[in-house]
Amino acid sequence: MSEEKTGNTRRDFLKKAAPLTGAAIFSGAALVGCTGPAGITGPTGSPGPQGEAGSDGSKWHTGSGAPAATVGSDGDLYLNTDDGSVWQKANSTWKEVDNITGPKGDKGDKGDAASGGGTNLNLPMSVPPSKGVLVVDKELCFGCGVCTLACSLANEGVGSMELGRIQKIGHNNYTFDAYVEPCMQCVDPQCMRVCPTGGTGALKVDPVTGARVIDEKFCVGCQKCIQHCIYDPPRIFYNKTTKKAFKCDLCGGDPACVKACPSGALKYYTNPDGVNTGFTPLGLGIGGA
Amino acid sequence: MSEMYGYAGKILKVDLTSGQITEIPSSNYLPKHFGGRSLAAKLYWDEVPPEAGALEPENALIFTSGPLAGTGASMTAVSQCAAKAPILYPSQSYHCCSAAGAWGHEMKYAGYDAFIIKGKASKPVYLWINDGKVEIRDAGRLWGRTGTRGARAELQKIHGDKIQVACIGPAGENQVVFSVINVDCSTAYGQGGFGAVMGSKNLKAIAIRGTGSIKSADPAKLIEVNEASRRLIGMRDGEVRVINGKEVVGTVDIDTTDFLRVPDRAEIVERGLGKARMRRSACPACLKGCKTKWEYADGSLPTGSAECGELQMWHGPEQDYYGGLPFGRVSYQWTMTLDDLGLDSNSVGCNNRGYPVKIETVSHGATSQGLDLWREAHRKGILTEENSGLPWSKFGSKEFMEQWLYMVAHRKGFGDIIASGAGPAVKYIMEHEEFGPNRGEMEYMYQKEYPKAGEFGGIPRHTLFHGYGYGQAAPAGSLYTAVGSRRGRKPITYMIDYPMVYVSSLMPFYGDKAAEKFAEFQTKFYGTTKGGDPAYWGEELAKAVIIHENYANECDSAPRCAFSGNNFGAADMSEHMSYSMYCVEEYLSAVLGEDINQERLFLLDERCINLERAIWVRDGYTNGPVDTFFDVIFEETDSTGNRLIPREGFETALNLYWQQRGWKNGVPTRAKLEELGLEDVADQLQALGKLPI
Repeated sequence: MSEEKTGNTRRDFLKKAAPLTGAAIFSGAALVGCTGPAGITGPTGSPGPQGEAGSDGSKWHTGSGAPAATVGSDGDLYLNTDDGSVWQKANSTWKEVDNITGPKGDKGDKGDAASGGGTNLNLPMSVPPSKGVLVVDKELCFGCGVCTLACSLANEGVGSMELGRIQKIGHNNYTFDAYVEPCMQCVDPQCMRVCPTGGTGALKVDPVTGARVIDEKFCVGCQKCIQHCIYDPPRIFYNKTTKKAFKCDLCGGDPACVKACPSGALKYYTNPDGVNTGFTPLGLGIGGA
Repeated sequence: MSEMYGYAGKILKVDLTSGQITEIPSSNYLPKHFGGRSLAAKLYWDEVPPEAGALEPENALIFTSGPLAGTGASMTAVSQCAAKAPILYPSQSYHCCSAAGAWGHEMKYAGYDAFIIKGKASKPVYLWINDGKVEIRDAGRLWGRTGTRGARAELQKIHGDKIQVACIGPAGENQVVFSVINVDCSTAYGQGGFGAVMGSKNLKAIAIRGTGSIKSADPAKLIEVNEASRRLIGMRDGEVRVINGKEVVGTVDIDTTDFLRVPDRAEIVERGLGKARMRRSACPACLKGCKTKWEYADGSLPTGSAECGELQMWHGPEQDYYGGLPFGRVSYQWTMTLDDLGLDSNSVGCNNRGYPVKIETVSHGATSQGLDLWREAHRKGILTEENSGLPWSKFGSKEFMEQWLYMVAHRKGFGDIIASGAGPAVKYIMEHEEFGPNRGEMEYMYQKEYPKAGEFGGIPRHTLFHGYGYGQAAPAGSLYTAVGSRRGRKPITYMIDYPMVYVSSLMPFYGDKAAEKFAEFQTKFYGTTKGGDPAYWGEELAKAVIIHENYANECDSAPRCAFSGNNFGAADMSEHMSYSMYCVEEYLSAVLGEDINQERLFLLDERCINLERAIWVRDGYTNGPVDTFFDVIFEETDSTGNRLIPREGFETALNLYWQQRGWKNGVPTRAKLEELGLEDVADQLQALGKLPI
């Protein structure tokens, strides 16, 4: 029995093997037998009896991983869908003979600029999430403002309700629900996007906590960060004396406000993989207003 | 920002007659005169001549804050108001009263340690103080048209939500003698009738906005003291913790210790009139949160807020009338109406125990309040529905409550008589036949209710007078009331004379060692355990009362809220003692940057108390004894027939007190005044012929 074999290229296999679905590719019987001297052409004989069914041709098989020895017959071909390798069986043994995975393509064209952003086209599409966020139990908070004062003492060295970086929503005595609301350390911080000093200027990510922090050296006091904070009231504040914005920086991971809270309403939640709070492309995330 | 540590640096003086606004450097008075109540006494001494009437332009309305307020120190939301007080009877003199809330902080953030307001505006005005810029503005649309709530809301619309407002309601505008200045939602300068003083000046309100800050010498130390304070007072996770040194030795569920029954977290509760959301509220820098806020979802009552026992002063009468659960609708309406009209709850409220108070046995019952006197008068047929215009047959009802409060605040009909003060009202009744044949009994009843004899009576009696109304002698409380200028000035004297309250609450933690433990505290802070003996009127008692008055002055001057050292949650109070009485020494040291110990503090306290006494002397004290009670008080007995205040024992203790104070017959001597740096005071008293020889 001979097999038709022309070349060993992938394309040759493909010509013969189309479609590569494991159907019998080679159909029909192979030509066999001897030849004698040519005689005179006789009358056309009556059709002979139908011949016996021929044996199976070579087949294509597919599967995940290398083919098992029990799969197929000699002459069959096998495609490993895991890695694109092609195998052929001969002498009851499968042997890898080719691979149909193409070479790496050329680099694609540059994408369009992100929509809705400010002037900061240099900011990457995402910044690392914060690893911590302040969480307030609003039913437990009784609006004492001890956290605000603890913050101003720890960070500014003075007592001030204006210089604390966590402040009350609602005027305590005239609003039924008055409690504090901290910066949510947004996953997609709009404050960083709109800061004209760029993502490594005034507003940056703290390397230890991931908090979104303001570096006063670079702040120009434009207050765009405050205007674009997605929360109402904003979680960034303006210092009229220094003419700079300021905000919660999680105290490097040991928030002063949490330690001072008398009721335990204020807690510090951390996640080493990042906290999913504030704005996401799909809408407000965990802890949204 | 002031360069001084703790202080804001300026005192604001406003003359409403001329419109002149001036600023005085605080360094003229501070730190020598401490702050708060101590500063108020000095400013009054300098500003108000003895002949000035309480409701006349020459009287000065003085507001003071203290060095700890606004620094970030906890439990410091207290400020003082002082002036010649219309409530005192038969003669007017100096009185100083405190209020909680954000007022004291905001003053300092606006740049001021004190306000002095004199004169009288030609038409109704309000003061607008905006970070050091001061204006006198027209109050025409507020005066005669708004209560305190309405005035505050109007001013917030004009000047923003974050302002603090001190204002009067119709009671102050109408110069009701016991009207108040409301400074915060449900807090007020309540005792003295300063609402009337403000009304007499045509001053409707003072609005402040302060965005500044206050410096401390050692902010890191301040943070440490705050942490210690929080461990002692704060109530994390709904528990009051009992701490021994640094170890938590036990916890007590907040509901069993907090007599205010304020829920730990906002929750829906079922009260007498349906479901409401209740939640705790607090002053700035407070660790405790003693206020209650309520919100009825069905809108059946406006959202409101109440402080301390205010809600309790009508729930007894309401239950008497309507039956049913306590703290029903009328109690809430009572507290809101009272606030809005600007009236003092103690003068127009009822006994908070709920049961009817009989004047004859008031020494056995709980304290009585102002209205209890008039109710008793009705029972005796002295006040009728006809001659008083009050629906007595419906006492306790909403109708009665509203009629009573409105007629007093607006001085309508018989309300005009009441509004002139209990003493003058009693005198009026006794002189008019329409009040029937029993009207002569009013004098006795008045003396039981307003026990202080002499020139400067007129303050209602208080719970501490006789061991919280349990009919047990309380020598410290009695002496403290006699010599002090105020009713029930916190801290209360139970730690000296009523140990049972504390020992029993310590028992779950110390077992049979509770009494011994408490005795340690008494010794450490008062130098004696004898105060608990109802028959002891000796030297150690006098000393303990002096120490107690000094602690009280520290609360009023530093300032430091009295709830930080004297909790009704008695289980935790023991450990406050082990740290220091109110952490005042530690806080002042951190803020001022000096070593302030109790000895130095006592010097400041003595200076204030002597100056207050000197004012009374200048105003007429030496016309007769004031550190005493009416005869009927000395006749009160406990249930076994023993005198609650035996005259001989009382006078012994009083003389020992005067001696230890360095006074002669209740008047400071020159030696004492000079020791305290008050030579000028001694000179002035001498010139008036009032200094003891």
